[in-house]
Amino acid sequence: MNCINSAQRYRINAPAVIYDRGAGQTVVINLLTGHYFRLDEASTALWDRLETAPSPAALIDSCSNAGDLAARLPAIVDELHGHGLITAVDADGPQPEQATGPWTFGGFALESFTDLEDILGLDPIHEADPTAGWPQARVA
Amino acid sequence: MPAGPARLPAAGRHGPLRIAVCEAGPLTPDRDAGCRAVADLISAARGLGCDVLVGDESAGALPERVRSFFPDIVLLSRPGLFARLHGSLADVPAPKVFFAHDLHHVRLGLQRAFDPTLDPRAADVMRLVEDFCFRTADLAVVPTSAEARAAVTAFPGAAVVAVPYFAMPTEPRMPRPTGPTRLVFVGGAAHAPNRDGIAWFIREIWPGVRARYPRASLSVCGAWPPGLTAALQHPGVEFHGPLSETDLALVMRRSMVGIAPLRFGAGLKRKTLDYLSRGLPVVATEFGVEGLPQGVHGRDAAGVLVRSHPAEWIDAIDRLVGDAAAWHCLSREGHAFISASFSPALHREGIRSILVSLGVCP
Repeated sequence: MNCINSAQRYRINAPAVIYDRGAGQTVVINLLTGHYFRLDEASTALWDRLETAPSPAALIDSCSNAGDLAARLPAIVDELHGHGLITAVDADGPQPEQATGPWTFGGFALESFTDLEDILGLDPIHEADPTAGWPQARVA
Repeated sequence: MPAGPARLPAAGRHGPLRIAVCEAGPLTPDRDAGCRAVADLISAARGLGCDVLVGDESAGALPERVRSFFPDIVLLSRPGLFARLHGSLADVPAPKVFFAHDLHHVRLGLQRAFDPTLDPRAADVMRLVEDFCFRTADLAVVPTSAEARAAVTAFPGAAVVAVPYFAMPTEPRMPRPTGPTRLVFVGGAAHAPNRDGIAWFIREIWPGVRARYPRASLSVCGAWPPGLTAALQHPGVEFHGPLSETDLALVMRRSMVGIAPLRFGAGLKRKTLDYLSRGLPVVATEFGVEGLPQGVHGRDAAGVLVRSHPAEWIDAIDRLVGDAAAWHCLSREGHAFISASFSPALHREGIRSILVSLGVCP
C-alpha cells in the first residue's frame, strides 16, 4: 500500500511541464522527457487543484467524497511524480495559496503517449543510446 | 600573416560579441540539413568576428558551460532543446534565440494524411510546445518569410524574423552529363518527408521512368537503414549511404536530374538548393520548392519543374533527359538564382541582422 505524507505539498512541475485545457480534456507535456499525457474532464478537476499546490490533507478536506480521494490519492501522487509532472514543494520556500473551494473527485486516469519522443525529447537525427538513454548519444 | 575578420564588438563593453550556439548532439552537417544550417550559422558568426561556443547537450553539463562562457546571446536550436534548456538558463543575462528550423506542428499535421500510425493529436501537442518556444524566446528565427508570417499568426506576441538558413557555396555550373540516365536524391530516412517521398517516387514514378529509359538509375544519398532499403529495392535504385562532400559532388556531376518528391513538409529544402547550386535541374513537388523566396507554389521555379502527379513527373524527367536546350536553360537559371539569393555573403548579412535587431552589437 502506498503511503503519503499528508503535509507534504506538491506543485505542477513548471516550467518543465506545460499544459493546455480544451474540449473537456487537458493535454500535459513533460518537456524534459518528450512524453505527453491526456487527462479527461474528471481528471482535469484534480489537476486544476494542483495549480495551487495544496497539501494532500487540504485537498482531501475540500473534497465532497473525501473517502474516495483518500483511497486513491497516494497512487495518483506516485504516478504524477513518477512522470515528473509534479514536484514536492520546498517547505522552506514560498508557500503558494492552498485550494479551498469544494469539489467532487470523479476519478483519475492519466493516458501516456510517447510518439513525439523523438522530436520533443531527442531530435531524430541524434539517436539515443538504447541503454543509457537521453542525453547519452549512441556511439556510432 | 593574413588579417582575420573585423571583430564584431559587443554593445556596451569591450571585446568581441560572444554567442553560445546549443544543439542536442554533435553536429553532423553532412548527414542532415538542420545540422548544416547550424554549422553555416556558426561559420557566419565566426566570419563576423564573434566568439562562438558550440554547446552539445549530449556531452553533458551544457547549462554550466553556457553560463561560464558569459554569452551576449544564447541560441538554442530546435524545439526539443529549447524547451528542455530554457528553464535552466533563465539566470543567464542574455537574450535567448530560438532557431526553429521549421514549423514542426505544420509538418506533423500534413504528415498525418500519409502516415495513419501518427497519433492524431501529435500536431496539436507539437503546436503547444512551439507556442511555448516561440512566445518564450526573445527572438525566434525561421528560414522563410512565409513561415515568419505563419508563426506570428499562430503565436501572437512572438518576435519572429526570417533569415536565409543556408550559405550555398558557389560551385562551378556542371556540364550536362553523358551516358545512361541518372537521377539523384539527397536526404536521409530520419526525416519523415524523405521516407515518404522516396517510397512514393519508387512506387509511383520510377517504373514509368524505367519503362522509357531501361538503363536509368536513381542514386539515393543519405543514411537509410537496411530494413528500409530492402523494402525499397527496385531495379536501378542504388542506396549510397551518407557521402562525403567529394563523393556527393561526383554523384551530382554524373546525374541528369535532382529530385525532391516530397508530399509534405515545412521549411526550406536544402537538397533543392544544393542541386541548383551545381547547375543540376530539378523536378520537385510543391513541397520540394517550399520556402524559396520567389514563392512558386503551383508553377515552375528557377531551375525547377514543379509537378504533382506521377505522369507529370515522368514527362518532366523525360523532357530534361531528351531536350538538351531545356536542360541547359534550367541549369543556368537555377545556378544564377542560388548565386543571387543564397550566397555566403547574403547569409552572413542575415545573421548580422539578427544580432543588430537584438541590440547586442552596434
